[in-house]
Amino acid sequence: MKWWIVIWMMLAGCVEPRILEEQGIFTAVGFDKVGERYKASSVMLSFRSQRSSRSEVIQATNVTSKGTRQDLEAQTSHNLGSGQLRVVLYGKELAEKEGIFLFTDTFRRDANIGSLVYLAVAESSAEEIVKSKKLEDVPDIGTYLYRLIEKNLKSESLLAATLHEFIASYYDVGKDPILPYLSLQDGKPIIKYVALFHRDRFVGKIRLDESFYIKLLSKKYNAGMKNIIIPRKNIAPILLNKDELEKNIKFVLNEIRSDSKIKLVSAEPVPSFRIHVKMDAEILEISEKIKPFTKKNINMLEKAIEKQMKHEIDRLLKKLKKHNADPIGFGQIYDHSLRRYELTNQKWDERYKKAKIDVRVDINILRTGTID
Amino acid sequence: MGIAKERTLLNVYLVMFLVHTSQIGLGIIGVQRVIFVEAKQDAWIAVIISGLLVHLIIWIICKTLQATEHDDIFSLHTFVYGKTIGAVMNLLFIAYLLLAYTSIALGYVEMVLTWMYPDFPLSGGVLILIVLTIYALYGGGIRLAAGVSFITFFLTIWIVVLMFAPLKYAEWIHLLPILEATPSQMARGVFKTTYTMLGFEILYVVYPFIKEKEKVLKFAQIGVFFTTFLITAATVFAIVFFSPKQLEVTIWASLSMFTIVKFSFIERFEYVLIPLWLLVIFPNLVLFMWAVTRGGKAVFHLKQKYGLFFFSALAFFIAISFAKRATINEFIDQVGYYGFGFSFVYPFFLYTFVKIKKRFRKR
Repeated sequence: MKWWIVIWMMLAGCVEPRILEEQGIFTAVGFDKVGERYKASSVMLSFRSQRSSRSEVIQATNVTSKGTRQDLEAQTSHNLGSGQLRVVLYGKELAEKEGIFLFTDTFRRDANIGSLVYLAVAESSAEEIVKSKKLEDVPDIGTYLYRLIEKNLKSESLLAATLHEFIASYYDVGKDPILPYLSLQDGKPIIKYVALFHRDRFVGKIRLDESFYIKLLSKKYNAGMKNIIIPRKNIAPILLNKDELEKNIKFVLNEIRSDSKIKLVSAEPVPSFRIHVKMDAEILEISEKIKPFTKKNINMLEKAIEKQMKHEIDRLLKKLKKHNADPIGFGQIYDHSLRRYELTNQKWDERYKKAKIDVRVDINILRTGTID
Repeated sequence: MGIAKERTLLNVYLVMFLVHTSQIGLGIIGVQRVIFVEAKQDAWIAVIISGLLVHLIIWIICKTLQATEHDDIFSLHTFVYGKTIGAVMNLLFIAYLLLAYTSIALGYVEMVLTWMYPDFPLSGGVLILIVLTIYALYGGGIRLAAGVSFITFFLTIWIVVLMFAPLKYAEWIHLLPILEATPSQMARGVFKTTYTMLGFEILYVVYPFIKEKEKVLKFAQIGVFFTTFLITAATVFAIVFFSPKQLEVTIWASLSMFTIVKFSFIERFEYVLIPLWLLVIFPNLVLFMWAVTRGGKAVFHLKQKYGLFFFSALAFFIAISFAKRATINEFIDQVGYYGFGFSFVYPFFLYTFVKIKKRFRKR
């Protein structure tokens, strides 16, 4: 039977070998629209046997997005591989005017690309971000952007950025995707805003601190941080210095653990939802001295923070409705709460604008740091 | 016929693994979409219903085999229908087994080519699988097949633990509202699940080789239960992981879900999973091919050793006549219908015929 094994081993040699030094590996790709053509800028990492790896940006423009790939191939002696692709950027203009679903669809079909690739919208153009040189200690821009987004997803207010989440939300009737919005600050890419989408089109941006509430309402939230500014007059009784009541006082909440429930209360005549957010937090910072934290004082503070948060959530929801973006998925809740009812995107677009959303926030301040 | 030598008898607990591993195969990787298209968010209920159906059929099969002294399907056919019609029925059953074998090989190779080696020829992939089956069966026969299913079960069952990783992105609301599917949607869902559940009909052929026949039913039921449990879990996970419209276009839902699994030492776990899946389909291949050669022996009095080469060549030529995914899918669907007939409908008829024949004889 030995010859069986010989045949078998010979067959294994049929697959084309890939030699590391001949590979050019994409770590980030950016797409922009320039006139009628698409421009792809990609960071290619190549390895050399003696020295360390190096990265370089190669660019191509073509009338179709797939065509750009061929043009990229023409510009390098390396075999291009997309298995290590970490981040895909879309220029704001492209995302706004054309939508990006067709671009992501290509990535889904390609089995080389994992579904945890991060997508992001680039302010002004993707090219600028990809070409940026300030990367802290990271060797290439793809890895830098990847770490930047990953960190913000884990510990900060960013809700979603992966290809999987984008596609899943896009396909879900009554839910819109959301992506990080990258901008340059002194030539360094940072995340200051979050991009809102209506289906696959960029419709607006919100600040990262507003995005905190989207995250708060969408899922269980653990160990985040949040600045909250409340008018001094709301907590006047516990202030030491009672002057200038029209000014604000700033708190930093830390170690936030929250859980939220969204219920459809009634479907007709307009969809009406009730949101109940429960939150545990610690106070990390206060911008001025206040009275000792007795039980009564803490209660008062909790009430004031709840009121402020409710106000901010209401404002955010109004903004979302104005942009017709539903990242929290009210439409999804609406659809799945009703029997024998099929929601369509058109129906929801119309109902979402009229939806009534009632918010209740319960805060529990567990600790106040090492001092009272 | 059907009376095996003492040394080839299998322990009864092996039935559990034989039934389970012959059921689990390619289906569990992509069945979610097919059921979901029919029964929507109630797809998992359809899986449970068809699982219950399999439990019932297993019971019927055991009853049928215990009814007379003929304890495999080939000799039962000659007993019930007489020589000529019996031979025709046997040929049909062999054809089904062989086509099932080919569809498994094709389906697996198709998946490997899409995910890993797009430039590798389909025929080469099929050849590797066929050679592997011949190698396994040539010296080993049923004892080796049983061993394979026992070992591969333990080599692959740990994958279940990883199924929980994608739940990080789960949206449980997708399961609501429960029981929205109409009876006809549900029925179609159950029907679509059956291809994945196929494989238990192997019991018709393995039965004579098992010691302690009175316990076969019990162990077969345990095997079926475990299969149903895994497929239900895979279906629920796919429903909560994908959004409805997305699931409808995802061909290998389980595999796509595993793209979420990531270790610090291996980033793309699906590339481990696909080769590993060979271990999952290997018992399928070995058992079906073994059953085919048993059939060859019963009908043509062909020694299993030679039958093995003959039927393997036949399977190879059937397989290489396919090139496109669409035709392969059509073929697999056809085999599914055929299998539904043989495994889900026919056992009831066969049982009735055997009963009638028996009574007729007594008189």
